[in-house]
Amino acid sequence: MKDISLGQFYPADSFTHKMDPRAKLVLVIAFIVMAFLAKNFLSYFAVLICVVSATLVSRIPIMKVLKSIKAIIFILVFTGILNLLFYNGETVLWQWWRIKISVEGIIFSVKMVLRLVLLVMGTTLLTYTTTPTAITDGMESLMKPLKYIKVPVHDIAVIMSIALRFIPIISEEVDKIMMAQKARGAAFDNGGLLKRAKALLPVLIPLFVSAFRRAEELALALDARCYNATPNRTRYKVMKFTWRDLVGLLGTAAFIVLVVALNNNFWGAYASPASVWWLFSV
Amino acid sequence: MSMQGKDPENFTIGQNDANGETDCVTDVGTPLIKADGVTYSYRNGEQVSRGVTDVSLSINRGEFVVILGRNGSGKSTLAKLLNGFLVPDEGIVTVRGIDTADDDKIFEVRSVVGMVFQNPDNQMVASVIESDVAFGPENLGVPREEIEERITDALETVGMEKYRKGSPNKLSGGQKQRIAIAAILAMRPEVVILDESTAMLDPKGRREIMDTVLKLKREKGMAVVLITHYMDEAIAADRIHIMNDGGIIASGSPAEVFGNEDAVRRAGLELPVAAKISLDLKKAGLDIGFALTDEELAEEICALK
Amino acid sequence: MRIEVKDLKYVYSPKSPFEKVALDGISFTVNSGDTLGIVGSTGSGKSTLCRHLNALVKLQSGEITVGDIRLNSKRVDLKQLRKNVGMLFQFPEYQLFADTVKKDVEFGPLNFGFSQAEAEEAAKRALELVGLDFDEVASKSPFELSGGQMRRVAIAGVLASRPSVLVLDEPTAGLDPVGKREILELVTALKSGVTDTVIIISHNMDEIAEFCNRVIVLDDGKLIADTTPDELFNRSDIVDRTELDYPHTVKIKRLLAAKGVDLDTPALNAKELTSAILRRVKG
Repeated sequence: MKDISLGQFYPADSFTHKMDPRAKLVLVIAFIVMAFLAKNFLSYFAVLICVVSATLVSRIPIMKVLKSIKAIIFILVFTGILNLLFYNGETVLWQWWRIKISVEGIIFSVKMVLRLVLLVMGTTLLTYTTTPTAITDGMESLMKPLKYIKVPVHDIAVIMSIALRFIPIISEEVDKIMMAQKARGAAFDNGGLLKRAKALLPVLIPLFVSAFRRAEELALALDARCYNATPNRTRYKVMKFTWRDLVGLLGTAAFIVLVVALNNNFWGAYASPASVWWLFSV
Repeated sequence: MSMQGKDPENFTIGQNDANGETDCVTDVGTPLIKADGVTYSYRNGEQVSRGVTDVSLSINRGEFVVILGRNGSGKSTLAKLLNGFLVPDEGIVTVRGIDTADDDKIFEVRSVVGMVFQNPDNQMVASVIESDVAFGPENLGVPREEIEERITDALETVGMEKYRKGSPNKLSGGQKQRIAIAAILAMRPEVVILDESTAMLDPKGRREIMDTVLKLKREKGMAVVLITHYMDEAIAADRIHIMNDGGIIASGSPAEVFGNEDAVRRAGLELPVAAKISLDLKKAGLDIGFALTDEELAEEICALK
Repeated sequence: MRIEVKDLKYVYSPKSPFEKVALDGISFTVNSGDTLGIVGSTGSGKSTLCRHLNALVKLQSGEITVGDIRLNSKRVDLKQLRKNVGMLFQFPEYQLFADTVKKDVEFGPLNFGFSQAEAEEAAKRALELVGLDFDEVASKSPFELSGGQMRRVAIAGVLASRPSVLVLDEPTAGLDPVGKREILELVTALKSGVTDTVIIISHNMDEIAEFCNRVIVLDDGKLIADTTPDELFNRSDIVDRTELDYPHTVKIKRLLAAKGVDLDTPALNAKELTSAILRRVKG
């Protein structure tokens, strides 16, 4: 059984793994912005270089990252085809009724698919290099300013932490109850939708009963540990912003500048041998 | 502790010093916990069911007390009365002189009386062991550097220091329960109540917990209250109370209580094998003394020859 | 019912950084009429092994035959297999779900194709077997019973389908002494008439010593002994390696032997040991 509290975490001893989760969260947001800023193929290419080099630095097999794309393959094909067929381009290649395939349409749909692929690669890199616990800690820290508008940041963080702690426990319990009911002859995978939903009752009811029992004991355990004893709660874990995070931030900033520059034909690069650069400037 | 700052007169000097050793020489006489004529009933609409009836007992510093009883005997209700989770209907429970019914001081009561529960999985709030152990001290507002020290100390006491950065998910039941004990120790309580904390464990896990309990008593001078239905866990106790049907039906040293066959039978408990054999041999006409452990029994038998 | 396991191997999360071999080259046979104990420390693969007997985990490599059902064949009659092999999980009361005890106990039989009348009859018999009064508990909700009663209802839920093999995973875990004794007496009673073959996973060596005629020992996914309880407790190399515990009776016998009192008795329970000591001292 895979330990779900690790999520997709891929253990490795790398530069990225050692980074501050807050920095990584900020970087992912920056990366998303970067992917949306990119306009032409040259700037897309820069974003790709960015995510590939980040993967290399993280020591995650590139195939592992590419595999995560498999999960959204349906969305990719759907977006690709839709844009291909319905984009309102001028250089029409083929047309039938309201469907038309144009050069602009082809280019646009390739870009859309590329953007989605890049987004997925970048965000999975976060989950591959950071445990959900660390992500929670990072989010709590980043949300701190919200305390001043009376958002119970700490309670939210405790809830998230408990949820993460209990996901593997509950999922193991689901497995166990399902096996126990299968052993009593229950079948979960045949019949119509209604029959299947009904077949799940012998799993759901014990699960709820157990969840309530756990919640009761957990509530006592929280009280026994003086939860909410003082508003001046301290914090043991301190996240440290190190040189790695600075390097990461500077690197990403550099890539954003590069993307913007390429978007705007900053070096007049596209002007030179027009035939070569055409591809990138569209 | 920030609470210490608020209310200094209720914390004796030296009780929470850096290495967790308790200064218990100063006031041996006063019990840490005292329950006097305590009655508690559960109310569920119209239905009223008795939890405990007219129970009196005291827990002294550094004492290992075992409360024995079968399921439904009221032993867990009693445990929950000792740290203010439940407030008596009649009678009074005091912890270091503080009435547990006093809502304003409830956190003080709970930081003195730590409690560990039955299912170790339901007591952990974080997916990293050190964060889980840190949770209690954080809630009490202990400064960061001291939390660090307390985590190390607590995990060393239960022998789990090398798992510090790990996840609790892959641990055995006994190991998880030791983490749960460490999480309570990090709050530097003076009494730890183990409310059926061995019930779900395998024999190895139970042994680990018993070793930890004895260590707490011997090395840290802490008081431990163990609630259980295993009589063999009570062999090393200073004092045993047997509960049945909400009341205490026998109290005393292990030899006294285990020799009280009538109470043991009435409470639906089972004597350790050695005790049972020594009693049966005596009944069969042998002139043999009472034995609690396998070793004692072997010696008694050899003395016969 | 005869069970044959040959060269069973099972790996969790294969080809990932979390890969773990749970079972490695396990072979053994359970004969009709056996009460087999499976022992080993937590995580040694006992539960995974038992789940195989009911096809609750997918067979990766090796062969398993239960009665005349071969689990390797392309089409396994799962219903028949699961009807034959009743499986009681740890803390079985956590799987109760129906609004009445009767419906919960009937769940298995109805799934296995009993008619409503047959299922009711089966539920009645099973509840009486576990010592509950059918008329008294049938229409109660299982959740208003005491812990010990809930466990007995859960056991009845497995027995109702009349399995010929019963697999019990830690049947007494968490129960108080009274509840424990009731369950163990029940297991003994079942052997005389209801199920002919019983497999018990237990950490409690006193239980194994008292109830099993054979025992297999798992250590880190490998089978390291297939023997009788009496033999097992003579082999300290195995017992110590798996961090098992000796039954108290064995400990007492050893302590006595060390002091020169060799009882030379196979006694594994307190009663037999008491009479052995009496014989020795008086005779």
